[in-house]
Amino acid sequence: MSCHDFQQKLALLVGDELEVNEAVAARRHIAQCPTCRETLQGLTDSRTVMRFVSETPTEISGESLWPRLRAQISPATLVPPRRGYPSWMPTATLAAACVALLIFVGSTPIIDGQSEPGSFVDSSFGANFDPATDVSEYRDFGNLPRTEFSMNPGFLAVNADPRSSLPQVYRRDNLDPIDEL
Amino acid sequence: MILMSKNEAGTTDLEESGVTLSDARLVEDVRRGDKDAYGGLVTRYERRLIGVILRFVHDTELSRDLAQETFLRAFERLDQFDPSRRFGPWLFRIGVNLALDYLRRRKRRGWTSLFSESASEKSPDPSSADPRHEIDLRQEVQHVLEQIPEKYRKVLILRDLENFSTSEIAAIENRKEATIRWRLAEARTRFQKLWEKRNLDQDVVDTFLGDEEFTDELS
Repeated sequence: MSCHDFQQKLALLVGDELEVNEAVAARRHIAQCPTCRETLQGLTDSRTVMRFVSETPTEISGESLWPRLRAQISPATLVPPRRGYPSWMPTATLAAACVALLIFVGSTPIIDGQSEPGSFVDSSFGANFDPATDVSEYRDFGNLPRTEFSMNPGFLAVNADPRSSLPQVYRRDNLDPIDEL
Repeated sequence: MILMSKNEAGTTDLEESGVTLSDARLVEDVRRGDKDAYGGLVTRYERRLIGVILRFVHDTELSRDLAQETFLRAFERLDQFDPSRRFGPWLFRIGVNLALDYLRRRKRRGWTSLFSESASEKSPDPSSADPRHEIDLRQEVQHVLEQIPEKYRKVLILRDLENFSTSEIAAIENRKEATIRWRLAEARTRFQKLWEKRNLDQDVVDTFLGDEEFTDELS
Protein backbone atom coordinates (compact mmCIF):
# COMPACT_ATOMS: atom_id res chain seq x y z
CA MET A 1 0.00 0.00 0.00
CA SER A 2 1.40 3.41 -0.99
CA CYS A 3 1.65 6.55 1.16
CA HIS A 4 -1.25 7.98 -0.81
CA ASP A 5 -3.41 5.04 0.24
CA PHE A 6 -2.42 5.61 3.85
CA GLN A 7 -3.40 9.30 3.86
CA GLN A 8 -7.05 8.46 4.30
CA LYS A 9 -6.27 5.88 6.97
CA LEU A 10 -4.23 8.44 8.91
CA ALA A 11 -7.16 10.83 9.00
CA LEU A 12 -9.24 8.08 10.61
CA LEU A 13 -6.43 6.89 12.84
CA VAL A 14 -6.39 10.22 14.72
CA GLY A 15 -10.05 9.72 15.60
CA ASP A 16 -9.60 6.07 16.54
CA GLU A 17 -12.03 5.07 13.80
CA LEU A 18 -9.95 2.36 12.12
CA GLU A 19 -10.48 -1.34 12.60
CA VAL A 20 -7.81 -2.91 14.80
CA ASN A 21 -6.01 -4.62 11.90
CA GLU A 22 -6.10 -1.41 9.83
CA ALA A 23 -4.71 0.59 12.74
CA VAL A 24 -1.90 -1.90 13.25
CA ALA A 25 -1.00 -1.74 9.54
CA ALA A 26 -1.11 2.06 9.58
CA ARG A 27 1.10 2.32 12.66
CA ARG A 28 3.58 -0.14 11.12
CA HIS A 29 3.76 2.02 8.01
CA ILE A 30 4.16 5.24 10.03
CA ALA A 31 7.07 3.74 11.94
CA GLN A 32 9.07 3.53 8.73
CA CYS A 33 7.70 6.49 6.75
CA PRO A 34 8.75 10.01 7.78
CA THR A 35 6.32 11.64 5.33
CA CYS A 36 3.30 9.86 6.79
CA ARG A 37 4.59 10.54 10.30
CA GLU A 38 4.63 14.22 9.51
CA THR A 39 1.14 14.05 8.02
CA LEU A 40 -0.12 12.25 11.11
CA GLN A 41 1.38 14.96 13.32
CA GLY A 42 -0.42 17.64 11.30
CA LEU A 43 -3.72 15.77 11.52
CA THR A 44 -3.27 15.25 15.26
CA ASP A 45 -2.55 18.95 15.81
CA SER A 46 -5.57 20.14 13.82
CA ARG A 47 -7.82 17.61 15.54
CA THR A 48 -6.57 18.81 18.93
CA VAL A 49 -7.77 22.29 17.99
CA MET A 50 -11.18 20.85 17.05
CA ARG A 51 -11.36 18.94 20.34
CA PHE A 52 -10.51 22.10 22.24
CA VAL A 53 -13.33 23.99 20.54
CA SER A 54 -15.66 21.05 21.08
CA GLU A 55 -14.98 21.02 24.80
CA THR A 56 -15.35 24.78 25.21
CA PRO A 57 -18.70 25.12 26.98
CA THR A 58 -21.41 26.75 24.94
CA GLU A 59 -24.14 28.66 26.66
CA ILE A 60 -27.48 27.14 25.76
CA SER A 61 -29.77 29.00 28.06
CA GLY A 62 -33.47 29.63 28.07
CA GLU A 63 -36.65 27.83 28.86
CA SER A 64 -37.78 24.60 27.29
CA LEU A 65 -39.22 24.93 23.80
CA TRP A 66 -42.15 22.71 24.71
CA PRO A 67 -44.63 25.28 26.15
CA ARG A 68 -44.45 27.38 22.96
CA LEU A 69 -44.52 24.30 20.75
CA ARG A 70 -47.46 22.86 22.65
CA ALA A 71 -49.49 25.93 21.74
CA GLN A 72 -48.52 25.60 18.07
CA ILE A 73 -49.23 21.96 17.44
CA SER A 74 -52.45 20.09 17.45
CA PRO A 75 -53.10 16.40 16.81
CA ALA A 76 -55.14 17.50 13.78
CA THR A 77 -51.87 18.62 12.18
CA LEU A 78 -50.70 15.07 12.31
CA VAL A 79 -51.55 13.15 9.17
CA PRO A 80 -52.46 9.58 10.15
CA PRO A 81 -50.24 6.90 8.68
CA ARG A 82 -51.47 5.71 5.28
CA ARG A 83 -53.29 2.41 5.45
CA GLY A 84 -54.90 -0.01 3.02
CA TYR A 85 -53.14 0.99 -0.18
CA PRO A 86 -49.44 0.30 0.02
CA SER A 87 -47.13 2.04 -2.42
CA TRP A 88 -46.09 -1.26 -4.05
CA MET A 89 -49.68 -2.04 -5.07
CA PRO A 90 -49.57 -0.46 -8.59
CA THR A 91 -46.32 -2.27 -9.42
CA ALA A 92 -47.67 -5.58 -8.15
CA THR A 93 -50.86 -5.10 -10.15
CA LEU A 94 -48.86 -4.38 -13.29
CA ALA A 95 -46.69 -7.43 -12.63
CA ALA A 96 -49.75 -9.63 -12.14
CA ALA A 97 -51.18 -8.35 -15.43
CA CYS A 98 -47.89 -9.11 -17.22
CA VAL A 99 -47.73 -12.63 -15.80
CA ALA A 100 -51.36 -13.25 -16.75
CA LEU A 101 -50.59 -12.07 -20.28
CA LEU A 102 -47.57 -14.37 -20.48
CA ILE A 103 -49.66 -17.32 -19.31
CA PHE A 104 -52.34 -16.40 -21.82
CA VAL A 105 -49.86 -16.14 -24.71
CA GLY A 106 -48.09 -19.30 -23.54
CA SER A 107 -51.32 -21.24 -23.62
CA THR A 108 -51.84 -20.50 -27.33
CA PRO A 109 -52.54 -23.85 -29.07
CA ILE A 110 -49.72 -25.21 -31.14
CA ILE A 111 -50.71 -26.76 -34.45
CA ASP A 112 -48.09 -28.71 -36.42
CA GLY A 113 -45.33 -27.21 -34.32
CA GLN A 114 -46.43 -23.64 -35.10
CA SER A 115 -48.45 -21.28 -33.10
CA GLU A 116 -51.83 -20.73 -34.69
CA PRO A 117 -51.91 -17.30 -36.25
CA GLY A 118 -54.80 -14.95 -35.75
CA SER A 119 -57.76 -16.02 -33.72
CA PHE A 120 -57.70 -19.47 -32.22
CA VAL A 121 -61.29 -19.22 -31.14
CA ASP A 122 -63.62 -21.53 -32.97
CA SER A 123 -65.44 -19.34 -35.48
CA SER A 124 -68.55 -21.34 -34.91
CA PHE A 125 -68.54 -20.30 -31.27
CA GLY A 126 -71.61 -18.19 -30.50
CA ALA A 127 -73.33 -19.07 -33.72
CA ASN A 128 -76.06 -20.80 -31.83
CA PHE A 129 -75.88 -18.45 -28.88
CA ASP A 130 -79.18 -17.98 -27.19
CA PRO A 131 -79.00 -15.07 -24.83
CA ALA A 132 -80.74 -15.50 -21.50
CA THR A 133 -83.80 -13.52 -20.95
CA ASP A 134 -83.41 -13.52 -17.20
CA VAL A 135 -80.25 -11.86 -15.87
CA SER A 136 -80.23 -14.19 -12.87
CA GLU A 137 -79.20 -16.93 -15.25
CA TYR A 138 -75.77 -15.34 -15.45
CA ARG A 139 -73.37 -16.18 -12.66
CA ASP A 140 -72.35 -13.24 -10.54
CA PHE A 141 -68.68 -13.08 -11.42
CA GLY A 142 -68.21 -10.18 -9.06
CA ASN A 143 -68.88 -12.45 -6.11
CA LEU A 144 -66.48 -15.13 -7.18
CA PRO A 145 -63.67 -15.58 -4.62
CA ARG A 146 -60.39 -14.06 -5.73
CA THR A 147 -57.69 -16.60 -6.25
CA GLU A 148 -54.48 -16.13 -4.31
CA PHE A 149 -51.66 -15.08 -6.56
CA SER A 150 -48.09 -15.48 -5.59
CA MET A 151 -44.99 -14.63 -7.48
CA ASN A 152 -41.30 -14.33 -7.02
CA PRO A 153 -40.66 -10.73 -5.91
CA GLY A 154 -37.33 -10.78 -7.69
CA PHE A 155 -39.17 -11.28 -10.96
CA LEU A 156 -39.96 -7.62 -11.27
CA ALA A 157 -37.11 -5.68 -12.78
CA VAL A 158 -38.72 -2.45 -11.58
CA ASN A 159 -38.30 -3.24 -7.92
CA ALA A 160 -35.29 -5.46 -8.06
CA ASP A 161 -31.95 -4.07 -6.97
CA PRO A 162 -30.00 -3.85 -10.24
CA ARG A 163 -26.81 -4.69 -8.38
CA SER A 164 -28.25 -7.94 -7.09
CA SER A 165 -28.04 -9.51 -10.52
CA LEU A 166 -24.40 -8.58 -10.87
CA PRO A 167 -21.67 -11.05 -10.04
CA GLN A 168 -20.30 -10.63 -6.53
CA VAL A 169 -17.14 -8.98 -7.81
CA TYR A 170 -19.13 -5.94 -9.02
CA ARG A 171 -21.09 -5.43 -5.84
CA ARG A 172 -20.15 -2.42 -3.73
CA ASP A 173 -22.87 -2.87 -1.14
CA ASN A 174 -20.88 -1.22 1.59
CA LEU A 175 -20.50 2.11 -0.20
CA ASP A 176 -22.89 4.64 -1.64
CA PRO A 177 -22.64 5.40 -5.38
CA ILE A 178 -19.43 7.21 -6.24
CA ASP A 179 -21.17 10.47 -7.14
CA GLU A 180 -22.59 10.64 -3.62
CA LEU A 181 -19.27 10.35 -1.83
CA MET B 1 -48.91 7.43 35.57
CA ILE B 2 -46.37 9.48 33.66
CA LEU B 3 -43.67 11.27 35.64
CA MET B 4 -41.06 13.70 34.40
CA SER B 5 -37.62 13.57 35.99
CA LYS B 6 -34.29 15.20 35.36
CA ASN B 7 -31.41 12.84 34.79
CA GLU B 8 -27.72 13.51 35.36
CA ALA B 9 -27.20 14.83 31.86
CA GLY B 10 -29.81 17.47 32.50
CA THR B 11 -32.24 16.02 30.04
CA THR B 12 -35.69 14.90 31.01
CA ASP B 13 -36.85 11.33 30.97
CA LEU B 14 -40.47 10.37 30.84
CA GLU B 15 -41.22 7.59 33.20
CA GLU B 16 -44.18 5.37 33.47
CA SER B 17 -44.25 3.20 36.59
CA GLY B 18 -40.50 3.69 36.94
CA VAL B 19 -39.69 2.61 33.36
CA THR B 20 -38.21 5.17 30.98
CA LEU B 21 -40.39 5.36 27.91
CA SER B 22 -38.63 4.66 24.65
CA ASP B 23 -38.72 7.06 21.73
CA ALA B 24 -40.68 4.47 19.75
CA ARG B 25 -43.36 4.28 22.44
CA LEU B 26 -43.63 8.08 22.61
CA VAL B 27 -43.89 8.34 18.82
CA GLU B 28 -46.61 5.72 18.84
CA ASP B 29 -48.49 7.64 21.54
CA VAL B 30 -48.22 10.88 19.53
CA ARG B 31 -49.55 9.11 16.44
CA ARG B 32 -52.51 7.97 18.47
CA GLY B 33 -53.25 11.60 19.28
CA ASP B 34 -51.47 12.04 22.61
CA LYS B 35 -50.04 15.51 22.11
CA ASP B 36 -48.22 15.53 25.46
CA ALA B 37 -46.19 12.48 24.51
CA TYR B 38 -44.47 14.76 21.99
CA GLY B 39 -43.44 16.96 24.93
CA GLY B 40 -41.44 13.98 26.15
CA LEU B 41 -39.53 13.82 22.88
CA VAL B 42 -39.01 17.59 22.83
CA THR B 43 -37.57 17.74 26.35
CA ARG B 44 -35.41 14.71 25.64
CA TYR B 45 -33.77 16.15 22.53
CA GLU B 46 -34.03 19.95 22.65
CA ARG B 47 -30.71 20.81 24.32
CA ARG B 48 -28.69 18.54 22.07
CA LEU B 49 -30.54 19.73 18.99
CA ILE B 50 -30.01 23.41 19.84
CA GLY B 51 -26.33 22.62 20.46
CA VAL B 52 -25.91 20.90 17.11
CA ILE B 53 -27.68 23.67 15.17
CA LEU B 54 -25.58 26.25 17.04
CA ARG B 55 -22.43 24.66 15.59
CA PHE B 56 -23.72 25.56 12.14
CA VAL B 57 -25.35 28.97 12.63
CA HIS B 58 -23.33 30.36 15.60
CA ASP B 59 -26.26 32.23 17.10
CA THR B 60 -28.08 30.97 20.19
CA GLU B 61 -31.43 32.64 19.56
CA LEU B 62 -31.41 31.58 15.93
CA SER B 63 -30.57 28.01 16.86
CA ARG B 64 -33.48 27.97 19.33
CA ASP B 65 -35.80 29.21 16.57
CA LEU B 66 -34.50 26.62 14.13
CA ALA B 67 -34.81 23.88 16.75
CA GLN B 68 -38.41 24.96 17.32
CA GLU B 69 -39.03 24.78 13.57
CA THR B 70 -37.38 21.36 13.51
CA PHE B 71 -39.74 19.99 16.16
CA LEU B 72 -42.72 21.47 14.33
CA ARG B 73 -41.72 19.89 11.03
CA ALA B 74 -40.97 16.57 12.70
CA PHE B 75 -44.44 16.60 14.26
CA GLU B 76 -46.08 17.40 10.94
CA ARG B 77 -44.14 14.64 9.17
CA LEU B 78 -44.47 12.02 11.86
CA ASP B 79 -46.58 9.98 9.44
CA GLN B 80 -43.51 9.68 7.19
CA PHE B 81 -41.31 8.46 10.03
CA ASP B 82 -40.41 4.78 9.80
CA PRO B 83 -41.04 3.43 13.32
CA SER B 84 -38.54 0.63 12.78
CA ARG B 85 -35.81 3.28 12.79
CA ARG B 86 -34.57 5.55 15.57
CA PHE B 87 -36.27 8.88 16.14
CA GLY B 88 -33.11 10.81 17.17
CA PRO B 89 -31.17 10.60 13.89
CA TRP B 90 -34.32 11.42 11.93
CA LEU B 91 -34.89 14.53 14.06
CA PHE B 92 -31.26 15.65 13.76
CA ARG B 93 -31.41 15.17 9.99
CA ILE B 94 -34.32 17.61 9.81
CA GLY B 95 -32.52 20.04 12.14
CA VAL B 96 -29.19 19.98 10.31
CA ASN B 97 -30.91 20.36 6.93
CA LEU B 98 -32.90 23.32 8.21
CA ALA B 99 -29.72 24.95 9.51
CA LEU B 100 -27.93 24.41 6.20
CA ASP B 101 -30.93 25.68 4.22
CA TYR B 102 -30.90 28.79 6.37
CA LEU B 103 -27.18 29.32 5.71
CA ARG B 104 -27.67 28.84 1.96
CA ARG B 105 -30.50 31.40 1.88
CA ARG B 106 -28.42 33.84 3.90
CA LYS B 107 -25.48 33.36 1.57
CA ARG B 108 -27.69 34.01 -1.46
CA ARG B 109 -28.84 37.23 0.13
CA GLY B 110 -25.18 38.20 0.59
CA TRP B 111 -25.44 38.26 4.36
CA THR B 112 -22.02 37.77 5.93
CA SER B 113 -21.54 35.95 9.18
CA LEU B 114 -19.98 39.11 10.54
CA PHE B 115 -23.29 40.19 12.09
CA SER B 116 -24.35 36.89 13.55
CA GLU B 117 -21.49 35.63 15.60
CA SER B 118 -21.81 37.46 18.85
CA ALA B 119 -24.99 36.08 20.38
CA SER B 120 -23.51 32.78 21.48
CA GLU B 121 -20.48 34.35 23.04
CA LYS B 122 -20.45 35.06 26.71
CA SER B 123 -19.28 38.42 27.97
CA PRO B 124 -15.83 38.22 29.55
CA ASP B 125 -15.72 37.15 33.17
CA PRO B 126 -12.90 39.06 34.94
CA SER B 127 -12.44 36.30 37.52
CA SER B 128 -11.68 33.66 34.91
CA ALA B 129 -8.77 33.33 32.52
CA ASP B 130 -8.75 35.58 29.50
CA PRO B 131 -11.58 34.16 27.33
CA ARG B 132 -10.44 35.98 24.19
CA HIS B 133 -8.16 33.13 23.28
CA GLU B 134 -11.06 30.64 23.32
CA ILE B 135 -13.31 32.99 21.35
CA ASP B 136 -10.57 33.74 18.81
CA LEU B 137 -9.79 30.08 18.37
CA ARG B 138 -13.47 29.21 17.95
CA GLN B 139 -13.88 31.92 15.33
CA GLU B 140 -10.77 30.82 13.49
CA VAL B 141 -11.92 27.20 13.45
CA GLN B 142 -15.32 28.40 12.24
CA HIS B 143 -13.65 30.44 9.50
CA VAL B 144 -11.67 27.43 8.29
CA LEU B 145 -14.71 25.15 8.47
CA GLU B 146 -16.65 27.54 6.25
CA GLN B 147 -14.10 26.95 3.48
CA ILE B 148 -14.81 23.22 3.43
CA PRO B 149 -17.59 21.93 1.12
CA GLU B 150 -20.85 21.35 2.93
CA LYS B 151 -21.00 17.55 2.73
CA TYR B 152 -17.58 17.22 4.37
CA ARG B 153 -18.11 20.07 6.84
CA LYS B 154 -21.35 18.54 8.06
CA VAL B 155 -19.67 15.23 8.90
CA LEU B 156 -16.68 16.93 10.52
CA ILE B 157 -18.86 19.09 12.76
CA LEU B 158 -21.04 16.17 13.81
CA ARG B 159 -18.06 13.93 14.54
CA ASP B 160 -15.32 16.19 15.92
CA LEU B 161 -17.37 18.98 17.47
CA GLU B 162 -20.54 17.17 18.51
CA ASN B 163 -19.04 13.71 19.18
CA PHE B 164 -21.58 11.67 17.25
CA SER B 165 -20.23 8.25 16.28
CA THR B 166 -19.79 7.46 12.59
CA SER B 167 -22.73 5.03 12.77
CA GLU B 168 -24.93 7.76 14.28
CA ILE B 169 -23.84 10.17 11.55
CA ALA B 170 -24.63 7.50 8.96
CA ALA B 171 -28.14 7.27 10.42
CA ILE B 172 -28.51 11.07 10.45
CA GLU B 173 -27.26 11.39 6.89
CA ASN B 174 -29.06 8.26 5.71
CA ARG B 175 -25.82 7.01 4.15
CA LYS B 176 -23.72 3.94 4.62
CA GLU B 177 -21.14 4.12 7.37
CA ALA B 178 -18.31 3.50 4.88
CA THR B 179 -19.38 6.64 3.01
CA ILE B 180 -19.35 8.65 6.22
CA ARG B 181 -15.88 7.39 7.13
CA TRP B 182 -14.64 8.30 3.66
CA ARG B 183 -16.11 11.80 3.96
CA LEU B 184 -14.74 12.20 7.47
CA ALA B 185 -11.23 11.32 6.34
CA GLU B 186 -11.53 13.76 3.45
CA ALA B 187 -12.92 16.46 5.75
CA ARG B 188 -10.12 16.08 8.30
CA THR B 189 -7.47 16.19 5.59
CA ARG B 190 -8.98 19.35 4.08
CA PHE B 191 -9.30 20.98 7.49
CA GLN B 192 -5.70 20.15 8.34
CA LYS B 193 -4.40 21.66 5.08
CA LEU B 194 -6.45 24.83 5.50
CA TRP B 195 -5.48 25.11 9.15
CA GLU B 196 -1.79 24.79 8.32
CA LYS B 197 -2.12 27.30 5.51
CA ARG B 198 -3.80 29.71 7.89
CA ASN B 199 -0.98 29.28 10.43
CA LEU B 200 1.57 29.82 7.71
CA ASP B 201 -0.19 33.00 6.54
CA GLN B 202 -0.39 34.20 10.13
CA ASP B 203 3.34 33.58 10.59
CA VAL B 204 4.07 35.63 7.49
CA VAL B 205 1.92 38.49 8.78
CA ASP B 206 3.55 38.30 12.22
CA THR B 207 6.99 38.32 10.65
CA PHE B 208 6.17 41.40 8.59
CA LEU B 209 4.53 43.16 11.54
CA GLY B 210 7.61 42.42 13.65
CA ASP B 211 9.79 43.93 10.97
CA GLU B 212 10.22 47.59 11.91
CA GLU B 213 11.24 48.64 8.42
CA PHE B 214 8.11 47.07 6.97
CA THR B 215 5.78 48.71 9.56
CA ASP B 216 7.50 52.02 8.96
CA GLU B 217 6.83 51.63 5.27
CA LEU B 218 3.18 50.95 6.00
CA SER B 219 2.85 54.02 8.19
